[in-house]
Amino acid sequence: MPGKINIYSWNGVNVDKNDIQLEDGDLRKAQNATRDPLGAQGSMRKRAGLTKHNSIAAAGAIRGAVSLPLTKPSTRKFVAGRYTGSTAGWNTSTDDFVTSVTTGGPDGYSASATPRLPANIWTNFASADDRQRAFSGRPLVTYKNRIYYAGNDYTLNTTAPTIRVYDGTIDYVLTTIPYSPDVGVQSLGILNMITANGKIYLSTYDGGSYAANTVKTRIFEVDPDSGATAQIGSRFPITPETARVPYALAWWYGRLWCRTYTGGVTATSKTYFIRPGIDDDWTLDNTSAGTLTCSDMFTFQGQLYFACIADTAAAVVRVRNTTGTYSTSKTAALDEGGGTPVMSDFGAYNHFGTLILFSSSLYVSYFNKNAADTNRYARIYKYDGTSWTVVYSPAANATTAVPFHFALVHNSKVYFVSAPSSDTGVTHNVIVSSSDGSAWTDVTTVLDDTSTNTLGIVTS
Amino acid sequence: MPFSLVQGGSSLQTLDTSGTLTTLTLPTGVTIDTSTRPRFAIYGRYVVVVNSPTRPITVDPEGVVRVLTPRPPRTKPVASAVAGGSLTGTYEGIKQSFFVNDSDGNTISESGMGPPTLSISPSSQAIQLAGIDVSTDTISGSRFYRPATNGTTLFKWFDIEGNTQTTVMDDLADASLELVAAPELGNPPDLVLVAEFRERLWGRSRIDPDYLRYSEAGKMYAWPTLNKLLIPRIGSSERGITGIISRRDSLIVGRETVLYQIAGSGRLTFATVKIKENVGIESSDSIVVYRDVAYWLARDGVYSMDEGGKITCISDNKVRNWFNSDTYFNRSRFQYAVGGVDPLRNKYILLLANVGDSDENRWVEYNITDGTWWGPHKTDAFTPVYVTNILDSNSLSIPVICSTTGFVYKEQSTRTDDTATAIDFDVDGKFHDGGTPDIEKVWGQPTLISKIQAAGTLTITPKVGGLDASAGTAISATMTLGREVLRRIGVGRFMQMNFRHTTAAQDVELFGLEQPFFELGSR
Repeated sequence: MPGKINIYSWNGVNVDKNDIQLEDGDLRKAQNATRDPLGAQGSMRKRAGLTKHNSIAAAGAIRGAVSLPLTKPSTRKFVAGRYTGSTAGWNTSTDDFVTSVTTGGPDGYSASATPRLPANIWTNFASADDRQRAFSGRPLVTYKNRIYYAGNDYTLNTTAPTIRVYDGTIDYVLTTIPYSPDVGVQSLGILNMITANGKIYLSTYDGGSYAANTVKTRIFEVDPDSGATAQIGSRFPITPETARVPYALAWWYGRLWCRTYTGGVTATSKTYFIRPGIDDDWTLDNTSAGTLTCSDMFTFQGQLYFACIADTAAAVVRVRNTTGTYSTSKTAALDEGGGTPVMSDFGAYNHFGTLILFSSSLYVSYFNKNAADTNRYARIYKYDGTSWTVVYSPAANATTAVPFHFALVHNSKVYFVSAPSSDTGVTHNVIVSSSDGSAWTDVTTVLDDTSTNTLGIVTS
Repeated sequence: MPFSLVQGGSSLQTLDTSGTLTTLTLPTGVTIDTSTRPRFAIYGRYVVVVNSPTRPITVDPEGVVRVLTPRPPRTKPVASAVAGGSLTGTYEGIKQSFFVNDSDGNTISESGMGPPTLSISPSSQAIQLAGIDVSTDTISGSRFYRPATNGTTLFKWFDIEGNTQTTVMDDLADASLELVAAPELGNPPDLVLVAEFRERLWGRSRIDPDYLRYSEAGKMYAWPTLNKLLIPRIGSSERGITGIISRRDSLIVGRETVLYQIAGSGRLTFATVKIKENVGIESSDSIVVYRDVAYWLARDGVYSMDEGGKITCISDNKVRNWFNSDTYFNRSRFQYAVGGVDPLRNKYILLLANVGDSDENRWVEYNITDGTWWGPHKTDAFTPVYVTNILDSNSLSIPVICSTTGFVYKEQSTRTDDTATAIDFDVDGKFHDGGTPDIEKVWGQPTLISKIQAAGTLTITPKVGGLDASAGTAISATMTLGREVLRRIGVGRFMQMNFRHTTAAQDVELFGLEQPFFELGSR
């Protein structure tokens, strides 16, 4: 009797049934054979080949692996403020300033979305001394991969200053600074911004004159999600001071700290703190805090450090410990030894500029223009908790011998950003960076001479 | 771009979509046992790694590796009343913890609390703490908790950044303490298993295998000692808990021979409910949850738990013999089996040790769509040790097999392993009997229908006779034809064919086979 077996359905392996009870399409073994639904469903096909994903072997047998649906940053977009002639804008780099920056801002910026100009505040906030233009504020912070910055899209004395946010795609106004009752006009601009406690804290310049000791300032807390904005404590100046107002801000010990400014470099400054949400007003800190004005404050190893400004004496870094005692941690020396250029003398407003924590050490910039106004010196100091060393010190009057007044750590690198121009005929458009705190790369001409202290980074 | 985290030797490395490896820096004092398999859980933006590291660690998308929880303070701070404050009353049991913040200032880890201070009674003074401990781990700072005046419940008091200060003071009034009592904290044990379920991490300690430990909700780092559940029967096996299955709406915990479900929503209500006796989890690494269906290897086969909670042995009636005899695999290594899923082909993949071998060097696959089993597969290009998925540049999940030599192998359309190793396609069909096993037959010329390939020859080796028939003369089938009538097979009651192809870079795709026969009769 004739018969025929037609197998057009391969059933896979069955090793449980005996040979008689198996179906015609059953297999006893299917080594490297499979049913492939990717265009070959129903047939029996040799399995796909296997090729190396990594061309270089891992450090040993791969005992386990897991994949993450999270984006490991592959693009890092650096944006720095710029100002050319009457045109404000941004310099943008996506290769860490290896190649030339692009101008005009990255995609997503509106034409009006530019960082506020230092001229908006320094004309009255600082004195006419070029040196003081270094104190143009730090009106930008990076928080949760967004750049929050003081915008320039307001009319001085007419409309309210803006706080804008750029998330790498779009740029919009997060909040505005309310009218200032002290001066009867709109606030003039933002001085400093920090992030802490899940918030943004910023100080404003509301009006008044540095020279006349009539500057008015407020400090605000901004919710970075909602833009909700609330004044923190009273408007400055506050008792016992009558003229000085906050410049630098810091978060430490669960408190927001500020130190006052104006009235001249030798004027007595004071430190205040407040516990946002707990205290109604600012508390004057230890009355023996010293008199020096500072340009920045920062927390390091549980203590609060002050980058101070001096006149013709050596500038210092002060520190407040956890029990309220102030002391001097570092005094700048004309000759720091080693290969550090020796300074001729301390000029007015020689100062420690900005503080940053990097790789478990405290870094602080320093700038001095000698009394004769002929030599500029810049340094970056490192403090590891035990000793201070100079880790960056260009030659006098070098292109990088500029005041650095903004610092940022990102992706295991530290960046120091120069302050706006303070010297007629001398450009100060520099960013220097380092991945080890020893070798520094300078990126000249990234900034424009009157750019404000802004550098932000968003990743995607 | 997405990336993967691999344990290569004693290193943790990230692997990007182009195959570039970057070695991560481990926390000080943490090492990885090269012979131990890591276990992972994804919690928020962090990967938690346990078992192979000497302490549980986390890895963030930037590749920063941290301990899951810093060790708690070891010493008792010395509390004293000092001038300069406004506190009056008795304060007892002030405690310190260590915390870690991310770059945005969010607390991402906090240790358990250290020993409490002795009672202190300031009178319009501040409280000073001296001799506070510093951490041996990398931390952001210390956090202090104190009770309200004359109270016992701790509230967050203040933070001090850094890891060097040994003296602090503060006079924060009671009314300014945080309104919510101090969180429950605690350090995780030396975890060998870990899973994430409902914003908690769940795990099993290396030295306490009968208890299921779990973290506080929303805090992967907080493991209070009270957060543990006994999984019965205590002491009944050396291995204790052998697997944790985290499904959409249920957490399953298994021993070798029993399964429990965790019921409840918090410490006061958590309870174990036995859901299956005589079915357990043999290998925790074999567990895969795909489309809310769990697959795992038990002692006697592969099981699934479907969306409704029904537990089924999916290997029974087909390949039970794989798992219940010593013919196919080294059953003593079943506890090391590794499971994975091929989302492209909808398959569950199980890596097993060949009989007599001590590496998981074979793999079988279960077609989830049609319930068929395929394999055991092997490769001569490398020795597999792990199977998992990685994300490609389109963020699509693809299956990969990891090797002892440190390479991750992904599929390629070319039927070659590595660069030049042929894939040994070796298939045995059944002993066909035409429905009449007692009747001698003439097995005529079969027709092979296949996909037309560019090149290649398939070797078909028939066996004709009884069930103990020997292999006959091989037949060559040309893969370039699409249809080929082969030579006559022979005479016998049964006929079986072996299909084999061992040439590199050549594909085989068989649509079907038609085998005519003519019954001769029976003796």
